[in-house]
Amino acid sequence: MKTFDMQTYQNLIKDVGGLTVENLFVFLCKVQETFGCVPNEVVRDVAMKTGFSEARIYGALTSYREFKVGRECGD
Amino acid sequence: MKEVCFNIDGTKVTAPEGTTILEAAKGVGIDIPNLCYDSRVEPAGTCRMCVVQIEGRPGLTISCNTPVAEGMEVCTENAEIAAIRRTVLELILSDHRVACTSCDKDGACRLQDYAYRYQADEGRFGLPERRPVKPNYATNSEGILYDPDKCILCGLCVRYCEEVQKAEALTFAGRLGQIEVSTAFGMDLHESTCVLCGGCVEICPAGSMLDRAAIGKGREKDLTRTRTTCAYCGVGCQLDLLTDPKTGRIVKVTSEVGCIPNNGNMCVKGKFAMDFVGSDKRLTTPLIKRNGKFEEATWEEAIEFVAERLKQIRSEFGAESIAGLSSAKCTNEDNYVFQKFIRACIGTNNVDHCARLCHASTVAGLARAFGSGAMTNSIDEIKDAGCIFIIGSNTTEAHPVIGLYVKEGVMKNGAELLVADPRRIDLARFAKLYIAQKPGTDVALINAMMNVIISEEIYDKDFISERTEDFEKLKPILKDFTPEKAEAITTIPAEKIRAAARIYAKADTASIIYSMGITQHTTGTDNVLSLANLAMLTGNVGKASAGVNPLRGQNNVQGACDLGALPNVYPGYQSVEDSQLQTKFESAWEQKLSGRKGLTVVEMMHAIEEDKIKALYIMGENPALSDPNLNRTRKSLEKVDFLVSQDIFLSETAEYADVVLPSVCFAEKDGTFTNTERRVQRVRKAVTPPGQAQSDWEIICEVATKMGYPMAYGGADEIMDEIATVTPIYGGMSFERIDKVGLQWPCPDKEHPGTRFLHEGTFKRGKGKFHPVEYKNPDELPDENYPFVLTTGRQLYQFHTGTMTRKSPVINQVSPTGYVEIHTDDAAGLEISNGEKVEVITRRGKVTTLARVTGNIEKGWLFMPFHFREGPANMLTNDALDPTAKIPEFKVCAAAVNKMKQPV
Amino acid sequence: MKEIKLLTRRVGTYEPPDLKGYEAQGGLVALKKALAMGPESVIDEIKRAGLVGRGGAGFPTGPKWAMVAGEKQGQKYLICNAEEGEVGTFKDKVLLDGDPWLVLEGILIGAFAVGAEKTYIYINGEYDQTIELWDRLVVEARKAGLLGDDILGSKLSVDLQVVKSKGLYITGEELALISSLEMRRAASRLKPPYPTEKGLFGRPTVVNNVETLANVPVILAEGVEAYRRLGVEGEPGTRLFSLSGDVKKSGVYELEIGSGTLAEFIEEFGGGTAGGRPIKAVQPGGGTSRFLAGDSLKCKLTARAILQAGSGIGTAGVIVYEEGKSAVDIVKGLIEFYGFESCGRCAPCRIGVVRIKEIIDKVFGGEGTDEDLEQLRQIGKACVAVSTCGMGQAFPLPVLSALELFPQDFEAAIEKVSA
Ligand SMILES: Cc1cc2nc3c(=O)[nH]c(=O)nc-3n(C[C@H](O)[C@H](O)[C@H](O)COP(=O)(O)O)c2cc1C
Ligand code: SF4
Ligand code: SF4
Ligand code: SF4
Ligand code: FES
Repeated sequence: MKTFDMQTYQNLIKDVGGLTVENLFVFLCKVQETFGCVPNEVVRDVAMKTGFSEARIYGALTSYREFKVGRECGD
Repeated sequence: MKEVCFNIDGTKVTAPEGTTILEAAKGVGIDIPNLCYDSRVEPAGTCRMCVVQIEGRPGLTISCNTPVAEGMEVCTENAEIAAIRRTVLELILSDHRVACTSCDKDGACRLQDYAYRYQADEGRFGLPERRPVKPNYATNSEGILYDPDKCILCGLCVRYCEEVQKAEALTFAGRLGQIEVSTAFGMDLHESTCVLCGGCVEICPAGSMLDRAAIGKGREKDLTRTRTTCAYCGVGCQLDLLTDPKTGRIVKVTSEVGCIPNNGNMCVKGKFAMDFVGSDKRLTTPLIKRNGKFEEATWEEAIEFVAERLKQIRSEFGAESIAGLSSAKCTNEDNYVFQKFIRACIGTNNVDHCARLCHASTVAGLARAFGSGAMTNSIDEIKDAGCIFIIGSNTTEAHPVIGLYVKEGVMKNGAELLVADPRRIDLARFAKLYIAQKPGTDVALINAMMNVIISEEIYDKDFISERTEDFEKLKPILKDFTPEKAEAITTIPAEKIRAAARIYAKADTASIIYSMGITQHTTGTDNVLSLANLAMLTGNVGKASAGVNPLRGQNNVQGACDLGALPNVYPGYQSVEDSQLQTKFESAWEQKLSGRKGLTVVEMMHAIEEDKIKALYIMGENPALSDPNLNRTRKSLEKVDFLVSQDIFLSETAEYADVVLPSVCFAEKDGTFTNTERRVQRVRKAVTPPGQAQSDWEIICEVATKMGYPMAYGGADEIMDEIATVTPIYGGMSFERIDKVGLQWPCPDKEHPGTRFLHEGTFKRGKGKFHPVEYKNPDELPDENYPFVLTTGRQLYQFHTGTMTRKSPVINQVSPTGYVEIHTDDAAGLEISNGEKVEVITRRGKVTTLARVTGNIEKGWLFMPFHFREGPANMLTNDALDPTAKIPEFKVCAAAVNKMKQPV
Repeated sequence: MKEIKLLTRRVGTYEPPDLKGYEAQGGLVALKKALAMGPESVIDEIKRAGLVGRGGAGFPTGPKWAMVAGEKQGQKYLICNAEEGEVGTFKDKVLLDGDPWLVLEGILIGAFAVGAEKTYIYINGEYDQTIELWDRLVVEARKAGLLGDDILGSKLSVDLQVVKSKGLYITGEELALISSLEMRRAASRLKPPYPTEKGLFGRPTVVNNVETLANVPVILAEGVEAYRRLGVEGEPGTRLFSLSGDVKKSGVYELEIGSGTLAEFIEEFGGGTAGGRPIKAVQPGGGTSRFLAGDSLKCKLTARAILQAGSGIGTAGVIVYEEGKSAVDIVKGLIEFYGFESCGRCAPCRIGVVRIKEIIDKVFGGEGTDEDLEQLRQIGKACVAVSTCGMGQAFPLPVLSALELFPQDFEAAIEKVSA
């Protein structure tokens, strides 16, 4: 597992062919797999890019056992 | 809409198609238990309490999400259903810390009510384990408390925040067993996207969300409820002030779903900013300044003093040397009495109020085009418009509850929203098209839109020929006003102007909403006339969900104007220069009146400089902070021989006064306000005034009487009765008629139902009149020394000069101080970082404030809210006037901004 | 009783993602036929074939497709539900691994029929190798012109996104699955609106089980008449039965619908009970179906017969329990799983599942009372009657049926202490 860095993150976005509403779930799964959690700054960034609220994405992530977010992520 | 006929518990019922069973039942007085329903949000069906049996359908069906159908037979309760409801309640109670003994919600809690109704045993399935106490998102909020142990996870708060307020601050977080309401990352509420509307607290059916400040201050069932009209903006929300009968203080504020115009919705000011009422800074006795110091005085002394000085000045310099500023904060009755006092007792038409500073150009412009200066349509029509065109109104901040209707129109009813504003206001999120015009270039934009509409022939020819005049005069001026020409002036790409024109013109009903971004310019009247042209060109006047809708800023600007707190008109916009009307009022008021129109606010200040005005009587206004070019205004206040300030606080203006008279605030008096949609609504006394404070009209009556013009009324209702006799548009008003729901003027007689929208069939002035408008530059343009365009405005959390809002801890937490917004790139160029102290300078003054670096403003522009005495934006603003309406150009001036030198 | 290989006939005959092996055995014939027939005729054929969903709810597939096809404008979606989270159910994996092209062909025909350009397959997160295989399959399919634009030279464009699920049972429920793909909470939602009206991102959406979609190419390739010759009146075709529990041999078997009884199936394919003891009870339709025991086991393997016997065919996951274990143990084992899987959206299920788990633990621990059993019945009944989705409506069924069929087991558990 890697610690979060912008470059890897940007590459992940490239890998999924750019971030869209339609691949957001898959994308965040990839973020989780890569970094072992979904850092707050990722939530903020995808919220901005998809127009979904940060609250919605955060709340959604916390409903899955496998996503680690917020405090679990050291944020 | 089609009606369907069906059966509920054996009773025949009809309801419009699409009505849910739950709502239909409610309509006939059957309360189907529900813990997750609210008419303002989409059903979510989470509590499952509302199940009913429908003949011919297997099992049970939830009634909150099932529409009625022709011939349907519904049984809302039988033994089986009751047993299931009881079990569900017992389950909920097994997960809810039952604390009715110490809960504010006791007696006003749906959960408690149903538990009682079904005799649910709270311990049946065991008592819930208490969660370890840990901070949650609201722990540090001054406004709201959230107790997850009491939360029944109905989701109403989350849905309200998302669907109605669209702040999207809340969510559920966590998995089974630990689910609770949270913000993103559990961050503090006041740092989230929350706008503190309090809707979540209000909608909570259990005691899980509460007003923090009200905890332990009284259970809802022990509090006295007084329905009144909010004292902040012009929306006129109906609020219920809950007071403790023992202390006589306001404990909290609520609002009832279904009330007009706000349907139970509020904004942060109505909900959380009533602290000023009980503030210990309130004035409690009259004060007279002796040797530069205020000394307490009795009412007799003070009234005597004021009357004597005014009489003396009048005899020495004439009635025209006295002027009065009435108040958009005060009731209709106060305003009527005040202008009557100035006109009949003093003998001059020198009466004005702060509407001059906000909507004088509206009144001037719309009166010329349509014959009436008021908002043409009603608030609740906005949500049904095909297109909503918002220009120069930051609706969600200045008129938050109207903002809700706009959002509802877009999100629920598919309205196309068009936003034109120099700043990327929050509503831009919902807009089909957002365009940023350079401040002060509105005429260019609108002319170009009309150019497009005419050249593409998407205007309403029938409407123009049947209902308007002077269309021919409009055409030549628009001929060359192409979008390309406008692009050069406004900076909006021509294609976007074309798109905007098409969206607006092609809608079935298009509603223009504007506010001070349009009016506060030297070209304010021109701007308003342009909007009127645009609306007439497309036939968008005189029908529902259309029109030209100026949103009034202060709670009672509309009323203060209606009741003649203006230098040129008597109550009901009856000209003082019309001798017939003069005679009418002379006989009504039994006094000779002046036929000369009086001075406007800024003219009064300038007249003081010229020694023409010697005495100024100010009721409930604070020009020392609200007027443009403050240095100049303050010099005038300093200079005037005799200054009376009648107010609830010792305001910045009162500091300059010779006499200060303590008056009562809206919560302490009876009367009426007229909201922005012309609705006259009741203001009711909920608490006793502090000390010796008296209501404004009573004080004025005493002064008048002392001066030899006897004025006396038995109560505010009597004043309204007098108003009705002399004011045709208010002819049918009485306290009795507006007791439950307000009434919209024109309402000429007691049988008239009031008027939802104006100019139906015919314009007030007969035909609508087109006025060709040439584009003119703002008075002051940026140059080398002052390279920025500074524009000013409001912010959600504060009101006007902050005397009321800044007493609220909830508001101080989110909006502690002023700031200047500057574009990220400009800030970078000046090496200014977010939150850093900066200096903003114009030709008139200099203030220090904090920089707020943002992408929401265009490059080269600055924005400052004007509420803060510690960084008063109006030190900077330009007092150049619109030649017609005499409104100052608050919205544009040239400015410079500097990084503060760091202390070494 | 004999296995009949209709959907599974290619399983083990080629090495996916090799496409040639698939084509060599009649693969893609159905897709080509479908492209030639046009969407409406495809839907008519599926309707005529009488195909019903194999995911558990048993909704007819043709009419479902017709609803989505009826919306002519804008984006539409098709989702292949490969969550397969139900206890005792592992039949979709056989197809996903053994003949993925068949499933993909079903997805493509479905997408073509309803007009969905974007499709998803939402695969159980524990099926690691399956997911890897599907990732490779998608690459192969793109190469072969079976995904992307102009599929097989037609005007058809379809894209497929492989999604690895996050290991939550509830995300197999169609609305929870959709919420998950929308990056909302892993929770079901209120219906109506149904996915066919407002599904993924508010657009009409088909959600179908893997096995359901695998039936589609078979129907088109073999022809409706041939297909309908299998099965019984009202329930044509075959079904994949997962067999597990106390049997000698567990596994997945494709059977003609109605070709034998439940008891025969267990005996012939499972080789009898593991310990050789008599059968105590069977769940015929996965872990949330009611128990059958005694004579009811003689019911035919059709949805109707199983329903009449007092249970439901559900996912056709047959779980066998032999004598010797108390019903309390059995139910405890089940609730150990379901007790954590409520999405928490609606009150009765969210709280009920936890209370039921607590009470069963208490009864199991020998501390139960008659009142506890009464509470189990009441809570269970309320959840079944008023919960939003199949989770809350079904998880109490085994508990309730155990209380009905084996009251003596519960009584014994209660009396353990008092005795
Ligand atoms: C709790 C729950 C879990 C479910 N899990 C699955 C699943 O794993 N796979 C599946 O195909 N359907 C599952 N379903 C059924 C789906 O909701 C849906 O009915 C099905 O995918 C529709 O496909 P079909 O019509 O082809 O059967 C589940 C339903 C519920 C209530
Ligand atoms: S106060 Fe209003 S904006 Fe804030 S969380 Fe509550 S509902 Fe949302
Ligand atoms: S806080 Fe109140 S409104 Fe919000 S989910 Fe809990 S009980 Fe419902
Ligand atoms: S029944 Fe259970 S799983 Fe289904 S929506 Fe309700 S809480 Fe969620
Ligand atoms: S009110 Fe219908 S489910 Fe809650």
